Amino acid sequence: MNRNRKYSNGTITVVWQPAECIHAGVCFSSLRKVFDPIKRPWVNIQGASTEEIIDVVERCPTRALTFFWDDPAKATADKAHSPKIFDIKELPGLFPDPTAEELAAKAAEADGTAPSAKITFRQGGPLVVEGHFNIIGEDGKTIQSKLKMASLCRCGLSDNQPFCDGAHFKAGFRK
Amino acid sequence: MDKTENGKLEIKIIDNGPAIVRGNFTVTGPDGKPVELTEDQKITGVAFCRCGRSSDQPFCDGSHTKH
Repeated sequence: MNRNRKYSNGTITVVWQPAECIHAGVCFSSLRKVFDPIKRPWVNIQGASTEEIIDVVERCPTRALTFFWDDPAKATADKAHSPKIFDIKELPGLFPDPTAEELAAKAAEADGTAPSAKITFRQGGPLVVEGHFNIIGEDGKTIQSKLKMASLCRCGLSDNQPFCDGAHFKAGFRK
Repeated sequence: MDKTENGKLEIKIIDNGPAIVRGNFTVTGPDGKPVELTEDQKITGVAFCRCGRSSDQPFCDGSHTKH
């Protein structure tokens, strides 16, 4: 799923690429009014002037934060975009159209047919359950209803049944 | 498969036995590919092996009852 985001104030657009972020924290320690990792969205592009934002974006040590001018004719400071964007032609590639899978998943969410949970079985490892689920015992009593993710033992050796405690790894379980 | 009453998946842990899962869920194998469930499994629920001895991983094949 594409996690890249764009934030525009009409003058510049800030591009966020989470895969590039090394969490150095320069952005949120310099301009918390705009960059606040606790908020969603975490970038408030209206929070400061264009100049202040450009200054902080350029101090980001990676390409996690870059910017470009919405109208290159209005660019100041002799740069049409962040020098960290090596070629402006790369930009459209950062925001591809959603894949057929992503669209199908969105449609399923919207009409309520999305699965409640996803179960993944790992070779030589636990059964991983993600989503909305209740784990109950044979007697019907709830063992756990508040988790969004759980690893269930498949090897039979965990001391924390029904949950995984890593015993499969020590035992060399390969199935 | 339909969702259970509160929309949550139900995972029932059988003592010395499998985990029986009922509800609306997907199963993904170790290669990332979806695992197709049989019509029976979709109706009665899927029994996942918890003893490690099944030859039909990740599903239960009754090996937990054998010595």
